[in-house]
Amino acid sequence: MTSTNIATETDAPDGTWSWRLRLAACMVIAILLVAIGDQYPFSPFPMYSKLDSSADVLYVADQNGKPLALGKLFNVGSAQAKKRFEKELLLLAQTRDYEKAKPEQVHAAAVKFLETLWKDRREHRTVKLDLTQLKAQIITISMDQNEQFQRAEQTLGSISLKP
Amino acid sequence: MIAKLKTWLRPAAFAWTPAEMFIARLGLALLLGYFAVRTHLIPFELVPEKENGLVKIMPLMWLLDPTALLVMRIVCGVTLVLFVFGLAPVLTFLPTLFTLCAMGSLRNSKGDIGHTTQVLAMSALAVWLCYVYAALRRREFWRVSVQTQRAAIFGIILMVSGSYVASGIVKMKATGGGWIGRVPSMSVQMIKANLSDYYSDPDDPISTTMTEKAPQFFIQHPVVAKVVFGTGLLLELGAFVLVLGRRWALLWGGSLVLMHAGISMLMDIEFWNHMALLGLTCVIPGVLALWRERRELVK
Repeated sequence: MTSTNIATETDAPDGTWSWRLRLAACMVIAILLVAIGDQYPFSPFPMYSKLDSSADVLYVADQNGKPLALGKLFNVGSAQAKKRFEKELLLLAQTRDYEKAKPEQVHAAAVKFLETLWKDRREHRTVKLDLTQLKAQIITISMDQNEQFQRAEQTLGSISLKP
Repeated sequence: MIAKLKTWLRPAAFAWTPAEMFIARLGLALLLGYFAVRTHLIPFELVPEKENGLVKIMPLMWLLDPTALLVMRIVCGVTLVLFVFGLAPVLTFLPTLFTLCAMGSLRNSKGDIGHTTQVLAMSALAVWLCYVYAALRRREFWRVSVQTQRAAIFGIILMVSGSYVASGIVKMKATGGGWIGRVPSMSVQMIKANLSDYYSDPDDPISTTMTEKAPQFFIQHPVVAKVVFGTGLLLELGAFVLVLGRRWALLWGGSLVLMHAGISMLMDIEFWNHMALLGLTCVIPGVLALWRERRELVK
Protein backbone atom coordinates (compact mmCIF):
# COMPACT_ATOMS: atom_id res chain seq x y z
CA MET A 1 0.00 0.00 0.00
CA THR A 2 1.22 3.48 -0.81
CA SER A 3 2.39 5.43 2.20
CA THR A 4 0.72 8.78 2.68
CA ASN A 5 3.73 10.16 4.52
CA ILE A 6 5.12 13.14 2.65
CA ALA A 7 8.68 12.07 3.39
CA THR A 8 8.35 8.56 2.01
CA GLU A 9 6.29 9.12 -1.11
CA THR A 10 8.13 7.70 -4.05
CA ASP A 11 7.79 8.62 -7.68
CA ALA A 12 4.93 6.99 -9.54
CA PRO A 13 4.24 4.21 -7.00
CA ASP A 14 0.98 3.05 -8.51
CA GLY A 15 1.50 3.45 -12.22
CA THR A 16 0.70 7.17 -12.26
CA TRP A 17 2.71 9.59 -14.36
CA SER A 18 6.39 10.13 -13.69
CA TRP A 19 7.40 13.67 -12.71
CA ARG A 20 8.92 14.26 -16.16
CA LEU A 21 5.66 13.36 -17.84
CA ARG A 22 3.78 15.61 -15.42
CA LEU A 23 6.08 18.52 -16.24
CA ALA A 24 5.69 17.92 -19.96
CA ALA A 25 1.89 17.78 -19.60
CA CYS A 26 1.91 21.07 -17.70
CA MET A 27 3.97 22.80 -20.39
CA VAL A 28 1.77 21.38 -23.19
CA ILE A 29 -1.35 22.69 -21.42
CA ALA A 30 0.26 26.13 -20.96
CA ILE A 31 1.19 26.34 -24.65
CA LEU A 32 -2.27 25.15 -25.72
CA LEU A 33 -3.95 27.76 -23.51
CA VAL A 34 -1.84 30.52 -25.10
CA ALA A 35 -2.65 29.19 -28.58
CA ILE A 36 -6.42 28.78 -27.98
CA GLY A 37 -6.85 32.17 -26.31
CA ASP A 38 -10.04 33.23 -24.56
CA GLN A 39 -12.57 30.58 -25.61
CA TYR A 40 -14.54 29.53 -22.55
CA PRO A 41 -13.65 27.43 -20.58
CA PHE A 42 -10.10 27.99 -21.82
CA SER A 43 -8.12 31.13 -21.13
CA PRO A 44 -4.46 32.15 -21.01
CA PHE A 45 -5.38 34.71 -18.31
CA PRO A 46 -4.01 37.76 -20.14
CA MET A 47 -4.88 40.29 -17.42
CA TYR A 48 -2.24 43.01 -17.00
CA SER A 49 -0.07 41.56 -19.75
CA LYS A 50 0.36 44.80 -21.73
CA LEU A 51 0.74 47.36 -18.95
CA ASP A 52 -0.19 50.51 -20.88
CA SER A 53 0.70 53.89 -19.40
CA SER A 54 -2.93 54.99 -19.44
CA ALA A 55 -6.13 53.24 -18.43
CA ASP A 56 -9.87 53.83 -18.71
CA VAL A 57 -12.59 53.28 -16.16
CA LEU A 58 -16.24 53.27 -17.21
CA TYR A 59 -19.15 54.00 -14.94
CA VAL A 60 -22.83 54.67 -15.39
CA ALA A 61 -24.45 57.71 -13.81
CA ASP A 62 -28.05 58.81 -13.34
CA GLN A 63 -29.61 62.07 -14.60
CA ASN A 64 -27.86 63.99 -11.80
CA GLY A 65 -24.44 62.55 -12.54
CA LYS A 66 -24.51 60.26 -9.49
CA PRO A 67 -22.66 56.95 -10.12
CA LEU A 68 -24.95 53.92 -10.07
CA ALA A 69 -24.05 50.65 -8.37
CA LEU A 70 -23.49 48.52 -11.47
CA GLY A 71 -23.18 45.26 -9.59
CA LYS A 72 -26.33 45.63 -7.54
CA LEU A 73 -28.50 47.17 -10.27
CA PHE A 74 -27.26 45.47 -13.43
CA ASN A 75 -25.31 42.43 -12.24
CA VAL A 76 -22.12 43.61 -13.94
CA GLY A 77 -18.89 45.19 -12.71
CA SER A 78 -17.32 48.37 -14.07
CA ALA A 79 -14.54 46.48 -15.88
CA GLN A 80 -17.03 44.11 -17.56
CA ALA A 81 -19.31 47.04 -18.46
CA LYS A 82 -16.38 48.74 -20.21
CA LYS A 83 -15.70 45.59 -22.21
CA ARG A 84 -19.36 45.46 -23.28
CA PHE A 85 -19.17 49.07 -24.47
CA GLU A 86 -15.94 48.27 -26.31
CA LYS A 87 -17.63 45.32 -28.02
CA GLU A 88 -20.39 47.62 -29.28
CA LEU A 89 -17.76 50.10 -30.45
CA LEU A 90 -15.83 47.36 -32.22
CA LEU A 91 -18.95 46.35 -34.15
CA LEU A 92 -19.64 49.94 -35.19
CA ALA A 93 -16.18 51.42 -35.66
CA GLN A 94 -13.85 48.39 -35.97
CA THR A 95 -11.86 49.63 -32.99
CA ARG A 96 -12.12 49.18 -29.24
CA ASP A 97 -10.41 52.53 -28.62
CA TYR A 98 -12.98 55.30 -28.22
CA GLU A 99 -10.32 57.91 -28.97
CA LYS A 100 -9.77 56.42 -32.44
CA ALA A 101 -13.49 56.23 -33.31
CA LYS A 102 -15.65 59.06 -34.63
CA PRO A 103 -17.71 60.90 -31.96
CA GLU A 104 -21.00 59.73 -33.51
CA GLN A 105 -19.78 56.11 -33.45
CA VAL A 106 -18.79 56.45 -29.79
CA HIS A 107 -22.19 57.91 -28.99
CA ALA A 108 -24.04 55.19 -30.91
CA ALA A 109 -22.01 52.45 -29.17
CA ALA A 110 -22.68 54.03 -25.76
CA VAL A 111 -26.42 54.19 -26.48
CA LYS A 112 -26.49 50.53 -27.57
CA PHE A 113 -24.49 49.55 -24.48
CA LEU A 114 -26.83 51.47 -22.15
CA GLU A 115 -29.95 50.03 -23.79
CA THR A 116 -28.68 46.48 -23.32
CA LEU A 117 -27.62 47.27 -19.77
CA TRP A 118 -31.10 48.61 -18.99
CA LYS A 119 -32.68 45.40 -20.28
CA ASP A 120 -30.50 43.46 -17.82
CA ARG A 121 -31.58 45.58 -14.84
CA ARG A 122 -32.76 44.13 -11.56
CA GLU A 123 -36.13 45.78 -11.65
CA HIS A 124 -36.92 45.46 -7.97
CA ARG A 125 -33.84 47.59 -7.26
CA THR A 126 -33.94 50.12 -10.12
CA VAL A 127 -37.62 50.88 -9.55
CA LYS A 128 -36.75 52.56 -6.23
CA LEU A 129 -34.30 55.01 -7.80
CA ASP A 130 -36.58 57.20 -9.93
CA LEU A 131 -34.21 57.02 -12.88
CA THR A 132 -34.99 59.17 -15.92
CA GLN A 133 -31.62 59.04 -17.68
CA LEU A 134 -28.53 56.82 -17.88
CA LYS A 135 -25.16 58.27 -18.81
CA ALA A 136 -22.04 56.29 -19.77
CA GLN A 137 -19.04 58.13 -18.33
CA ILE A 138 -15.39 57.31 -18.93
CA ILE A 139 -12.41 58.33 -16.80
CA THR A 140 -8.95 58.21 -18.36
CA ILE A 141 -6.02 57.90 -15.96
CA SER A 142 -2.54 58.59 -17.28
CA MET A 143 0.89 59.56 -16.04
CA ASP A 144 2.63 62.69 -17.29
CA GLN A 145 6.36 63.24 -17.79
CA ASN A 146 6.72 64.49 -14.21
CA GLU A 147 5.31 61.18 -13.02
CA GLN A 148 2.12 62.81 -11.83
CA PHE A 149 -1.21 61.09 -12.38
CA GLN A 150 -3.68 62.88 -14.63
CA ARG A 151 -7.39 62.22 -14.69
CA ALA A 152 -9.82 63.24 -17.45
CA GLU A 153 -13.53 62.46 -17.65
CA GLN A 154 -16.09 62.62 -20.43
CA THR A 155 -19.61 61.47 -21.28
CA LEU A 156 -19.70 58.81 -23.99
CA GLY A 157 -23.45 58.86 -24.47
CA SER A 158 -26.78 58.80 -22.66
CA ILE A 159 -30.30 57.43 -22.97
CA SER A 160 -33.59 58.72 -21.61
CA LEU A 161 -35.74 56.25 -19.75
CA LYS A 162 -39.46 56.22 -20.31
CA PRO A 163 -41.50 56.19 -17.11
CA MET B 1 21.96 20.52 4.99
CA ILE B 2 21.96 20.84 1.17
CA ALA B 3 21.69 17.05 0.83
CA LYS B 4 18.72 17.10 3.22
CA LEU B 5 17.08 19.90 1.22
CA LYS B 6 17.68 18.00 -2.01
CA THR B 7 16.01 14.95 -0.56
CA TRP B 8 13.13 16.99 0.77
CA LEU B 9 12.48 18.65 -2.58
CA ARG B 10 12.92 15.54 -4.69
CA PRO B 11 10.01 15.06 -7.16
CA ALA B 12 7.46 12.65 -5.75
CA ALA B 13 4.07 11.17 -6.47
CA PHE B 14 0.87 12.66 -5.08
CA ALA B 15 -0.32 10.04 -2.64
CA TRP B 16 -3.37 11.79 -1.24
CA THR B 17 -5.40 9.92 1.33
CA PRO B 18 -9.11 9.19 0.69
CA ALA B 19 -9.96 11.78 3.38
CA GLU B 20 -7.89 14.48 1.66
CA MET B 21 -9.51 13.64 -1.66
CA PHE B 22 -12.95 13.81 -0.06
CA ILE B 23 -12.11 17.31 1.23
CA ALA B 24 -10.94 18.31 -2.26
CA ARG B 25 -14.11 16.90 -3.90
CA LEU B 26 -16.33 18.60 -1.34
CA GLY B 27 -14.51 21.91 -1.83
CA LEU B 28 -14.71 21.61 -5.60
CA ALA B 29 -18.43 20.83 -5.38
CA LEU B 30 -19.02 23.85 -3.12
CA LEU B 31 -17.14 26.13 -5.52
CA LEU B 32 -19.01 24.72 -8.50
CA GLY B 33 -22.28 24.91 -6.62
CA TYR B 34 -21.68 28.56 -5.83
CA PHE B 35 -20.46 29.69 -9.24
CA ALA B 36 -22.30 27.34 -11.59
CA VAL B 37 -25.59 27.06 -9.78
CA ARG B 38 -25.98 30.20 -7.69
CA THR B 39 -24.30 33.10 -9.49
CA HIS B 40 -24.23 31.90 -13.09
CA LEU B 41 -27.75 30.56 -13.49
CA ILE B 42 -29.57 33.85 -13.85
CA PRO B 43 -31.32 35.14 -16.98
CA PHE B 44 -29.79 37.96 -19.02
CA GLU B 45 -30.11 39.62 -22.40
CA LEU B 46 -27.84 38.24 -25.05
CA VAL B 47 -27.05 39.45 -28.52
CA PRO B 48 -24.66 36.76 -29.75
CA GLU B 49 -22.71 38.84 -32.20
CA LYS B 50 -19.39 37.55 -31.00
CA GLU B 51 -19.85 33.94 -30.01
CA ASN B 52 -17.41 32.53 -27.51
CA GLY B 53 -16.52 29.03 -26.39
CA LEU B 54 -19.31 26.45 -26.39
CA VAL B 55 -21.74 28.90 -28.03
CA LYS B 56 -19.72 28.49 -31.22
CA ILE B 57 -20.39 24.78 -31.43
CA MET B 58 -23.87 24.23 -30.01
CA PRO B 59 -27.12 26.15 -29.46
CA LEU B 60 -27.30 27.28 -25.83
CA MET B 61 -29.82 30.11 -25.86
CA TRP B 62 -32.46 27.75 -24.45
CA LEU B 63 -30.55 27.86 -21.15
CA LEU B 64 -31.56 31.49 -20.66
CA ASP B 65 -35.21 30.52 -20.30
CA PRO B 66 -36.24 30.93 -16.62
CA THR B 67 -37.80 27.43 -16.52
CA ALA B 68 -34.66 25.84 -17.99
CA LEU B 69 -32.56 27.74 -15.43
CA LEU B 70 -34.68 26.43 -12.56
CA VAL B 71 -34.49 22.84 -13.84
CA MET B 72 -30.70 23.09 -14.25
CA ARG B 73 -30.35 24.49 -10.74
CA ILE B 74 -32.18 21.50 -9.27
CA VAL B 75 -30.37 18.94 -11.44
CA CYS B 76 -26.93 20.46 -10.66
CA GLY B 77 -27.64 20.69 -6.93
CA VAL B 78 -28.75 17.04 -6.63
CA THR B 79 -26.02 15.58 -8.85
CA LEU B 80 -23.29 17.56 -7.08
CA VAL B 81 -24.24 15.96 -3.76
CA LEU B 82 -23.98 12.50 -5.37
CA PHE B 83 -20.61 13.49 -6.86
CA VAL B 84 -19.18 14.43 -3.46
CA PHE B 85 -19.85 10.89 -2.30
CA GLY B 86 -18.13 9.54 -5.41
CA LEU B 87 -21.22 8.01 -7.01
CA ALA B 88 -21.09 7.58 -10.82
CA PRO B 89 -18.98 10.72 -11.25
CA VAL B 90 -19.03 10.54 -15.07
CA LEU B 91 -22.77 11.20 -14.87
CA THR B 92 -23.11 13.18 -11.66
CA PHE B 93 -20.37 15.68 -12.52
CA LEU B 94 -21.53 16.32 -16.08
CA PRO B 95 -24.59 18.58 -15.51
CA THR B 96 -22.61 21.07 -13.42
CA LEU B 97 -19.63 21.01 -15.79
CA PHE B 98 -21.94 21.59 -18.74
CA THR B 99 -23.85 24.36 -16.98
CA LEU B 100 -20.70 26.19 -15.93
CA CYS B 101 -19.19 26.00 -19.43
CA ALA B 102 -22.46 26.89 -21.14
CA MET B 103 -23.27 29.88 -18.95
CA GLY B 104 -19.66 31.05 -19.01
CA SER B 105 -19.64 30.87 -22.81
CA LEU B 106 -22.95 32.74 -23.00
CA ARG B 107 -21.67 35.41 -20.63
CA ASN B 108 -18.42 35.82 -22.53
CA SER B 109 -20.42 36.08 -25.76
CA LYS B 110 -21.72 39.40 -24.45
CA GLY B 111 -18.26 40.80 -25.08
CA ASP B 112 -17.14 41.27 -21.48
CA ILE B 113 -14.78 38.34 -21.22
CA GLY B 114 -14.20 37.79 -17.53
CA HIS B 115 -11.65 35.47 -15.99
CA THR B 116 -13.30 34.55 -12.71
CA THR B 117 -14.50 31.04 -13.42
CA GLN B 118 -12.27 29.75 -16.24
CA VAL B 119 -9.75 28.10 -13.93
CA LEU B 120 -12.62 26.37 -12.14
CA ALA B 121 -14.22 25.26 -15.41
CA MET B 122 -10.91 23.98 -16.82
CA SER B 123 -10.21 22.08 -13.61
CA ALA B 124 -13.71 20.60 -13.64
CA LEU B 125 -13.18 19.53 -17.26
CA ALA B 126 -9.90 17.81 -16.35
CA VAL B 127 -11.58 16.02 -13.42
CA TRP B 128 -14.45 14.82 -15.61
CA LEU B 129 -12.06 13.59 -18.35
CA CYS B 130 -10.24 11.50 -15.74
CA TYR B 131 -13.54 9.87 -14.79
CA VAL B 132 -14.42 9.28 -18.45
CA TYR B 133 -11.02 7.65 -19.02
CA ALA B 134 -11.51 5.40 -15.99
CA ALA B 135 -15.00 4.44 -17.11
CA LEU B 136 -13.83 3.53 -20.59
CA ARG B 137 -10.51 1.88 -19.77
CA ARG B 138 -11.08 0.35 -16.34
CA ARG B 139 -14.86 -0.01 -16.38
CA GLU B 140 -15.12 2.18 -13.28
CA PHE B 141 -18.53 3.73 -13.58
CA TRP B 142 -20.60 3.63 -10.40
CA ARG B 143 -17.60 3.75 -8.09
CA VAL B 144 -14.07 4.83 -9.00
CA SER B 145 -10.81 3.59 -7.52
CA VAL B 146 -8.47 5.59 -5.29
CA GLN B 147 -6.09 5.73 -8.25
CA THR B 148 -8.73 7.44 -10.40
CA GLN B 149 -9.65 9.86 -7.63
CA ARG B 150 -5.96 10.78 -7.31
CA ALA B 151 -5.69 11.29 -11.05
CA ALA B 152 -8.77 13.53 -10.92
CA ILE B 153 -7.33 15.70 -8.14
CA PHE B 154 -4.02 15.82 -9.98
CA GLY B 155 -5.97 17.01 -13.05
CA ILE B 156 -6.89 20.12 -11.05
CA ILE B 157 -3.22 20.81 -10.18
CA LEU B 158 -2.24 20.27 -13.81
CA MET B 159 -4.80 22.79 -15.06
CA VAL B 160 -4.02 25.34 -12.35
CA SER B 161 -0.26 25.12 -12.94
CA GLY B 162 -0.71 25.25 -16.73
CA SER B 163 -2.89 28.35 -16.44
CA TYR B 164 -0.29 30.20 -14.33
CA VAL B 165 2.50 29.34 -16.78
CA ALA B 166 0.27 30.44 -19.69
CA SER B 167 -0.42 33.74 -17.95
CA GLY B 168 3.33 34.30 -17.50
CA ILE B 169 4.03 33.42 -21.15
CA VAL B 170 1.32 35.85 -22.34
CA LYS B 171 2.89 38.67 -20.30
CA MET B 172 6.30 38.00 -21.81
CA LYS B 173 4.85 37.66 -25.31
CA ALA B 174 2.80 40.88 -25.10
CA THR B 175 5.79 42.94 -24.02
CA GLY B 176 8.51 41.24 -26.04
CA GLY B 177 10.03 39.94 -22.82
CA GLY B 178 10.13 43.40 -21.24
CA TRP B 179 7.22 43.09 -18.81
CA ILE B 180 9.28 43.85 -15.74
CA GLY B 181 10.62 47.02 -17.37
CA ARG B 182 7.05 48.26 -17.72
CA VAL B 183 6.07 47.50 -14.15
CA PRO B 184 6.06 51.17 -13.02
CA SER B 185 2.98 51.55 -15.29
CA MET B 186 1.30 49.11 -12.90
CA SER B 187 0.58 52.18 -10.74
CA VAL B 188 -1.90 53.41 -13.36
CA GLN B 189 -3.46 49.93 -13.42
CA MET B 190 -3.69 49.98 -9.61
CA ILE B 191 -5.68 53.22 -9.73
CA LYS B 192 -7.85 51.82 -12.51
CA ALA B 193 -8.53 48.56 -10.65
CA ASN B 194 -9.48 50.34 -7.43
CA LEU B 195 -11.69 52.88 -9.25
CA SER B 196 -13.36 50.05 -11.21
CA ASP B 197 -14.13 48.34 -7.96
CA TYR B 198 -15.52 51.57 -6.50
CA TYR B 199 -17.78 52.25 -9.52
CA SER B 200 -19.04 48.67 -9.43
CA ASP B 201 -20.47 49.50 -6.02
CA PRO B 202 -20.16 53.22 -5.13
CA ASP B 203 -21.83 52.61 -1.76
CA ASP B 204 -18.53 51.17 -0.50
CA PRO B 205 -16.04 53.92 0.44
CA ILE B 206 -12.96 54.28 -1.75
CA SER B 207 -9.50 53.98 -0.20
CA THR B 208 -7.18 56.89 -1.07
CA THR B 209 -4.26 54.75 0.12
CA MET B 210 -4.80 52.42 -2.81
CA THR B 211 -5.82 55.02 -5.41
CA GLU B 212 -3.20 57.64 -4.53
CA LYS B 213 -0.55 56.81 -1.94
CA ALA B 214 0.41 53.26 -2.98
CA PRO B 215 0.57 54.04 -6.76
CA GLN B 216 2.70 57.13 -6.02
CA PHE B 217 4.99 55.02 -3.82
CA PHE B 218 5.62 52.54 -6.62
CA ILE B 219 6.32 55.39 -9.06
CA GLN B 220 8.85 56.91 -6.65
CA HIS B 221 10.43 53.52 -5.91
CA PRO B 222 10.51 51.65 -9.24
CA VAL B 223 12.98 49.07 -7.94
CA VAL B 224 10.55 48.09 -5.18
CA ALA B 225 7.77 47.89 -7.80
CA LYS B 226 9.89 45.63 -9.99
CA VAL B 227 10.78 43.35 -7.09
CA VAL B 228 7.16 43.11 -5.89
CA PHE B 229 5.49 42.55 -9.26
CA GLY B 230 8.49 40.73 -10.76
CA THR B 231 8.21 38.15 -7.99
CA GLY B 232 4.63 37.58 -9.08
CA LEU B 233 5.73 36.99 -12.66
CA LEU B 234 8.39 34.53 -11.53
CA LEU B 235 5.83 32.65 -9.45
CA GLU B 236 3.59 32.39 -12.52
CA LEU B 237 6.31 31.30 -14.92
CA GLY B 238 7.66 28.79 -12.40
CA ALA B 239 4.27 27.35 -11.47
CA PHE B 240 5.09 24.14 -13.36
CA VAL B 241 6.83 22.97 -10.17
CA LEU B 242 3.37 22.49 -8.63
CA VAL B 243 3.24 19.13 -10.42
CA LEU B 244 6.51 17.86 -8.92
CA GLY B 245 5.04 16.58 -5.69
CA ARG B 246 3.32 17.62 -2.49
CA ARG B 247 6.25 19.53 -1.03
CA TRP B 248 6.69 21.65 -4.15
CA ALA B 249 2.93 22.06 -4.37
CA LEU B 250 2.80 23.23 -0.75
CA LEU B 251 5.71 25.67 -1.12
CA TRP B 252 4.78 27.11 -4.52
CA GLY B 253 1.03 26.86 -4.03
CA GLY B 254 1.30 28.64 -0.67
CA SER B 255 3.42 31.37 -2.31
CA LEU B 256 0.84 31.81 -5.07
CA VAL B 257 -1.93 32.12 -2.46
CA LEU B 258 0.12 34.85 -0.73
CA MET B 259 0.66 36.55 -4.10
CA HIS B 260 -3.11 36.63 -4.69
CA ALA B 261 -3.68 37.99 -1.19
CA GLY B 262 -1.17 40.78 -1.96
CA ILE B 263 -2.83 41.60 -5.30
CA SER B 264 -6.20 41.63 -3.59
CA MET B 265 -4.89 44.14 -1.05
CA LEU B 266 -3.21 46.41 -3.62
CA MET B 267 -5.67 46.26 -6.49
CA ASP B 268 -8.92 45.01 -4.98
CA ILE B 269 -9.01 42.14 -7.48
CA GLU B 270 -10.09 38.84 -6.00
CA PHE B 271 -8.91 35.45 -7.21
CA TRP B 272 -11.07 33.28 -5.00
CA ASN B 273 -11.18 30.34 -7.41
CA HIS B 274 -7.42 30.22 -7.89
CA MET B 275 -6.84 30.52 -4.15
CA ALA B 276 -9.48 27.94 -3.29
CA LEU B 277 -8.18 25.38 -5.80
CA LEU B 278 -4.61 25.89 -4.61
CA GLY B 279 -5.79 25.55 -1.03
CA LEU B 280 -7.75 22.36 -1.70
CA THR B 281 -5.13 20.55 -3.76
CA CYS B 282 -1.77 21.95 -2.63
CA VAL B 283 -1.88 23.73 0.72
CA ILE B 284 -4.33 21.70 2.83
CA PRO B 285 -3.04 18.23 1.79
CA GLY B 286 0.56 19.44 2.11
CA VAL B 287 0.06 20.79 5.62
CA LEU B 288 -1.80 17.63 6.65
CA ALA B 289 1.01 15.42 5.33
CA LEU B 290 3.67 17.48 7.12
CA TRP B 291 1.68 17.26 10.32
CA ARG B 292 1.41 13.47 9.97
CA GLU B 293 5.12 13.21 9.25
CA ARG B 294 5.99 15.23 12.34
CA ARG B 295 3.64 13.16 14.48
CA GLU B 296 5.25 9.92 13.29
CA LEU B 297 8.74 11.30 14.00
CA VAL B 298 7.72 12.17 17.55
CA LYS B 299 6.44 8.60 18.04
